[in-house]
Amino acid sequence: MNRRSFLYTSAFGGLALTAFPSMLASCKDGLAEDLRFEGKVIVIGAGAAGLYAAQILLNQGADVIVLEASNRIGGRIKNNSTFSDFPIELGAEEVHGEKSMLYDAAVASGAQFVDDESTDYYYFNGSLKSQAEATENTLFNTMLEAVDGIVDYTGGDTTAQAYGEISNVSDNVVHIFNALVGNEHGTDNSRIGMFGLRTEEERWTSGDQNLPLRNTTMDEVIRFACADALPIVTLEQIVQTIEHHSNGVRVTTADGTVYSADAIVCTVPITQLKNNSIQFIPSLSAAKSAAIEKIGMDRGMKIILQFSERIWPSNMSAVYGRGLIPIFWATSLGRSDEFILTGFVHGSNAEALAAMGEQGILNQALEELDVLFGEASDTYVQGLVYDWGNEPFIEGAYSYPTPDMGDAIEVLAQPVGNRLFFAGEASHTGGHTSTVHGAMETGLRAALEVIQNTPRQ
Amino acid sequence: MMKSIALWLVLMGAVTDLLGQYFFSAGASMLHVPDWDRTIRYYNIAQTWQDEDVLPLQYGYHAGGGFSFLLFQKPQVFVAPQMRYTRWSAGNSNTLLSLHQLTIGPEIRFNPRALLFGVESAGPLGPRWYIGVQSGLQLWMPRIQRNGEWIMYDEETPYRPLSTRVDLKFSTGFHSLQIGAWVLTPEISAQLVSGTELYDWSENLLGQNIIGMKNKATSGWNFAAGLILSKLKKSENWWDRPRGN
Repeated sequence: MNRRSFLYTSAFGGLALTAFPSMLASCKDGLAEDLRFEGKVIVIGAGAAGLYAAQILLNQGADVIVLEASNRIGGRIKNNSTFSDFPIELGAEEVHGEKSMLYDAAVASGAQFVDDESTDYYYFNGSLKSQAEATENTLFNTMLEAVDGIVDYTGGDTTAQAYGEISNVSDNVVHIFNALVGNEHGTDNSRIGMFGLRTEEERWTSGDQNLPLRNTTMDEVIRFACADALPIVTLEQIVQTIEHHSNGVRVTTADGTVYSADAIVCTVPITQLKNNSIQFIPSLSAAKSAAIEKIGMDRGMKIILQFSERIWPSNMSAVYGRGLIPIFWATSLGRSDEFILTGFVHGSNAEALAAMGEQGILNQALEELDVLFGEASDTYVQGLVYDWGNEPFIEGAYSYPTPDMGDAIEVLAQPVGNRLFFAGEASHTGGHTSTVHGAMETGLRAALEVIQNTPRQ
Repeated sequence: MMKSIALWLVLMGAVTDLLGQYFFSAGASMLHVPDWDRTIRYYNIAQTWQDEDVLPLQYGYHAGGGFSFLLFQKPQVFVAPQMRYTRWSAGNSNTLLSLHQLTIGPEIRFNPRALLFGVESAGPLGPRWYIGVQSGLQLWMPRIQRNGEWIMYDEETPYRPLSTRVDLKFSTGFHSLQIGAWVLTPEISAQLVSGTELYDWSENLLGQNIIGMKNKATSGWNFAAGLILSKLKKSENWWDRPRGN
């Protein structure tokens, strides 16, 4: 190599080794800067969406306070640790899919999931049938095809009940159709809209598995993911007014406390927006108010029943009955040697049950289980009803799409100006409504909106 | 099958040996596509329990090869059909992202002054210095591993979508060192990453399509620096002086 070659080689090599890393490093630094936010943010609601938004904003440098109306954190995540030898989820129970932040957080927290070879059972034509037996029945298969066909639905935005009729779902299995569609989505088939159902099917991306937690609770997972946000929650702060102006926001609570900030993330359940429990000053737009009205959220309850022995098949995961309670699942399966079933009911059936009172509901559940298994009442030990319709500051289970809802979810999710932002499962525009991971994702979305839109001081 | 491949390689080698020179390349690549970086940054923000961030997919390596023909002596132009594989990866203890790129296409190499005025007027760097322009095909494939398992579309279908784009790459190099029939050439390049789609990437990484996140990313660049090792037909170079033919 001569001197000239050496110089040229050195020049090229030096350029390659120094110029490009420096250039890219500067790109990275520039990106890092734009996600810092050192303003003050009030998060209203300490459910999954609120806590997660608060945690993210804290991490990005914000001064955050979380105002929670009730006397506990978690929102629709709650468990009972005294009923059995393992904690029973009274609210959100499963991780839906393995492609979500909730799944990641659960795994990172050391959670394990119930993994078994169980199957579902169905009661129709006067007898209980295993999944394998049920799928030999033409009426049952027609019903399943209707469920699977929701994603390809091309008609008008009618109810799932009307869709079932045009899909020739037989009266013999329509209760199962209702359990799989309406009840699963927080209501019943007479109230839920087909366009919203189809959109959810189309946009769902978090995976197909339903994963019950085996060794921990949903509450523990959320606390793990939002650990820094827990100390900044102020309980029993019932927000009455939200004033939002171009130069800042102000919140007044029922005890007269006034909080000022640069931005608000409002994560209260859609029921609380529907019943105007919070006064917005200035008022929300007519479009926003109309959107809030169009999104449904019904009463929902869990009926927990303990038995002295197992009265259901050993491989049963869930059973779909014909009574007011569309589904019972084996809560203790894979978690405990005790024998516990959970009934899960929403919408008009839940309203009918609520009128019976707690003991009436338990009696109704036992009667329905007697039909399914014969000996339920004889082996019954204790029961518990948790009615989310009676839960203060929540008053329902989770949101669902109504017919002719249009773009209500998108409108709900839109910020008002650059200081008022909305999160919560009902505002998920990607089909993950009514889930914990969906709520978290809206918290992430709202936190990023705050960071990107709210003027820095 | 293996015999057929071996025979094909021998035949291709023989033909190429008659017509041009082999070269092999390797080096480092640095990718800068702001939308992909942003997706990873949102992911980091969302993983509130993680102390270790996933770095943007910036640092990678490449390897490839091809053969170079002297297309014209006057004006002096080389054409170099080539294939280059580049892999970028980044991760932390529970997430591994990898991005694979394959580019295939011919590169035109020339010294601007030699092209215009002949090899004798190749300027102070001489005809050892060249500029390259390549156009061909870019193939992109992302993969995501979470908690030790590859992300799947479903139980049987791994997430590894392929997307294609027209390749456009600019490079410059200098044939700096010759040892016998082997020539070492440092080269730097800038490759346009034009609106490339990584299908469902943000959904699979973030669990949702969040604000600003979409399949099609804004354009970016892939900068690379590396070494090319070429084997001459004979132990003489063909850039210092015009060939006699």
